[in-house]
Amino acid sequence: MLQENDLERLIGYALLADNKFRKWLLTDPQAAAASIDIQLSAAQADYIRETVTLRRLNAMAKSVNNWMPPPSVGNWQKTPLIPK
Amino acid sequence: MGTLTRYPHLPPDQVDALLDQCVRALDDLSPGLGAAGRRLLAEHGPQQWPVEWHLPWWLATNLGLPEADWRALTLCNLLGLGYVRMVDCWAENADAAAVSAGEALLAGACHELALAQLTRLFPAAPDFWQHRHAAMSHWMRSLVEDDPAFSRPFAAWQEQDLARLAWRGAPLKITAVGACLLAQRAELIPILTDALDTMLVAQVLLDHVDDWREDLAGGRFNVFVAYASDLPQDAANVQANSRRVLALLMMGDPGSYFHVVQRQVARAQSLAAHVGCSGLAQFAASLQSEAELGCGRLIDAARSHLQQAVSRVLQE
Repeated sequence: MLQENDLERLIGYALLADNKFRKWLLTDPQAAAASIDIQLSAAQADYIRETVTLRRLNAMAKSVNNWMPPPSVGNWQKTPLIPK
Repeated sequence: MGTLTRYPHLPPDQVDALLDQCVRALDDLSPGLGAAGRRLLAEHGPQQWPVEWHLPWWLATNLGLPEADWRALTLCNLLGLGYVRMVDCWAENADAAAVSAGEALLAGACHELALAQLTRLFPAAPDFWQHRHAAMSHWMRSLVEDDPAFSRPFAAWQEQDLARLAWRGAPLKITAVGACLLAQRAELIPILTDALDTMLVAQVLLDHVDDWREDLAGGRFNVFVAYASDLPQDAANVQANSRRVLALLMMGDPGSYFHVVQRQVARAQSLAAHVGCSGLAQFAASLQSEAELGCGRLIDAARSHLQQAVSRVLQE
C-alpha cells in the first residue's frame, strides 16, 4: 500500500530516516519529498505542515526503529545453554 | 504443520535412549557433568536441531549401516553439538570471560567423549581424520570472523564467499563422512558434503535474518545487514545499518536475498536425493517451505507495522 501512495511513502521514508530528514520534511515538505523523487503538490505539502507534528513523527519513528521481528525464520533459534 | 512431521524423525523412545546414552557417558566421568549434560542436551532437542539428531539415521537407512553404527555416530553428533554450541556462545558473547568452570568442564567432556567415540569407530582411517580436521578448522576459522568478504558489500560477494558461510556448521559433516566410510561408500562423500554445505549456507542466511538486531548490538558481522547496507558493520554505524535493514524489510525488496536461500536449499535437496539420502532431501524440502512461509510472515509483519505507524502520523 505504501508503494502506491506518495504521501504515505514519504511519511514511511521519514519514519525510517534520521531526525534531520524529519525536521526538513516539516519545514519544507516539497523539497524533502523531491530529494527522494516524490513530487508533492502544494495541497499535500500544506496537509503535512498542518497535520503532522514532529513529536508524533518522532514517536512513531521510535516505534518503527524498535520494531521486533517475529522470530523463527531460521532453523537455529536461540536456546539457553545450560538451564539451572 | 511443523517441520518435524514432514521428514523421517526418530520416535520419542529412541530420542530418549540417545539422550540417556550421552548422559551416561558424561555421568561416568562425573555425576555433576551428567546432570549438566542432560540439561544442556534437553535444550538441544531433535525439533530444533533436526539434522544433528537424524542425519546418521537417515544415512544408515540409505547406506545399510547397522544400528550400532548410526547410534554411535549420533552420539558423536550430540556430544559434538553440546561442545560446539558452548564454544559458539562464548565466541559470540562479549562476556565470555564470565564462563563458569562447570561450563568449561562440560564442554571439554563433550569434546573428549565425542573424540573417543570417533577414535573407536575409525582407528585406522586417515581419510576420516583429514576430513574431521578440515571441518573443525573451518568451524574455528568461522568463529574468528576475519573473512575478507565481511568487509565487502554483499553485492560484491562471489560464490566462494557465500560457500564459506557453511563453515559455521562444518562439524556436522564429520559423522556424515564417517557414515560413508563405515559403509565403504567413500565415493558419496563429495556429493553428500556438498549437499550439507549448501544446506548450511541457507541455514546461516536464514539465521542472520533472525539475528540481525542482536548481531548489530553485539558487534558481530551479519550477512543480512551486509545485504541491506554497504556501510561498515562497526559501532559508529549501528543506527544507520539498523535503519537500512528496517527500510529493506518495510519498504524495499529483500526478494533476491531469499532467492539465494531458495537456490541453496534446492541444490541441497537435489544433491541429497542424488546420493539417495531421502531423509535429508525431505528435510531440505521442509526447510524450503518453512523458510518461504517464515520470510513471508516477516515481511508482512514489517510492512504492516510501518503502515500502522504512517496511519497514526497522518491521523488528524
